[in-house]
Amino acid sequence: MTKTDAPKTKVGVIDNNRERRNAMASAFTSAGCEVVQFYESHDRYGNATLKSDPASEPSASFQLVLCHTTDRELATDTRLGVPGGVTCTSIIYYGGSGGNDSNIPNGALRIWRQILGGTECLNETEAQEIVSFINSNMSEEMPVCLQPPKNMELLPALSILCQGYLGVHAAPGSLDVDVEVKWREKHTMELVKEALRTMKWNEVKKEMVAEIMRSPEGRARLRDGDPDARIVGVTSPAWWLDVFRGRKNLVDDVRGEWGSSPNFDESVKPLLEAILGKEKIEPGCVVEAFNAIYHRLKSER
Amino acid sequence: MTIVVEMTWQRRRSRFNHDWLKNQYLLSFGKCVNVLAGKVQDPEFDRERFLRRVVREWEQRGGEGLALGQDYESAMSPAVFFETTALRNCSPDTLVWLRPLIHELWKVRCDAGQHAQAVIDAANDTHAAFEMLKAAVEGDRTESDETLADRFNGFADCCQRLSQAISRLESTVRVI
Repeated sequence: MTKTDAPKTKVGVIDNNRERRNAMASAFTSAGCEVVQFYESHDRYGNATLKSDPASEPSASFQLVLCHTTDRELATDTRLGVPGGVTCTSIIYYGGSGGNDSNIPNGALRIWRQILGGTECLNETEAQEIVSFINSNMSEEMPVCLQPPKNMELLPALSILCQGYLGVHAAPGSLDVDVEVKWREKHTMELVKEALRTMKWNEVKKEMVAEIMRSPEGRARLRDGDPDARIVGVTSPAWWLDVFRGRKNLVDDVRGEWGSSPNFDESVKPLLEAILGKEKIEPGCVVEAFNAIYHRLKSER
Repeated sequence: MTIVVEMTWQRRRSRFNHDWLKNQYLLSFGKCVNVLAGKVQDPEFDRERFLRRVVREWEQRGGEGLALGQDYESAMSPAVFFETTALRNCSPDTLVWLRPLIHELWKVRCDAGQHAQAVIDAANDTHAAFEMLKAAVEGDRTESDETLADRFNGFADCCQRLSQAISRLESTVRVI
């Protein structure tokens, strides 16, 4: 039997919000599934009728049902004339709480991102991954959208240290003159400016920046350190390593949080190697890592 | 990106705004709005009982909205990473400047102060509208149907605005 001859996976979508229901149904239709939508229709007196689309659905038994968390009671509604209501092999809940909704039964599959309206719904690729996962009796790797959010620690910490490093090198409101001279390399300078824009550095009011950072002397102290005051500067590997002390495999640990996303070796690893080295930390590797981590964390949202 | 530390505030927000205010409380208002406006005649609809329930529920839960606005900055700022991640190893010398810097950058990036204040203002407005509705519901019943309808609609609008203001708050702790 060729792929096109294979029976279509039957998917039910239970959701009283039309825009969201249509978007969810559309993703699974595009993924080659046979989709039936269920929803409650209210008259002006508030009386509800359970409807299905297509209305002629003879049976309400599905391989997969997608159910909005606040409409879950419809799954067991018998007004369709189907004894026992809508039945299915697998059910996946979704809603505006990103998987944290207290209505979701313990241990049930759920989409972990917030789905408030149609725009946050699954796309065709995600629908295909879910269908493939369900049809494998859940033996395949669980699709990312069904996995709980990763408990990241190292990438956020690195991003914050990078922001500190860049902030120390930049005066409130604009880049410091000596930084301009030192970071003459045009490419690096452009990247730094982009990073500072991303951080919204120029919008932070001068008085909100810590006292020690406001004067050129203060920033120089934070940047290069002060042996007399036992201050370690941000250009010293020790300043960074202090945070990650006790980790024997820093590069591997950070790579673990990075996951299968590309460009780790080119963008983040050079900073980690510098942290583990003895030379001064240069702005080029900091800004490369910062920008890459920014995009990586953004993809998690 | 979601981390464990944000769950308490995030769950509170989710349970108050998403689970209750938007999808239970406000949804239940629809029929009453139509009955009070005279658009629907329903002799079985017990208006007094419904309004007493509306009052009782807000008395029990209304304060949660205000608290969400008040706690927002301390709960959702990336400065929490200094307590919960490897950043707790930062030296005191570094903490003095890095922690406030990260907090201020975050506030600028997501207009945190403005959004939190909008929730606080909306919560206070809603409570003021609630007090007027409560007086009409539990008072000496001399209010006309029109006045009662106005007060209920005013309270419903405020609830709607509070829900929207809470929706504009960040739902995850973001370092950048």
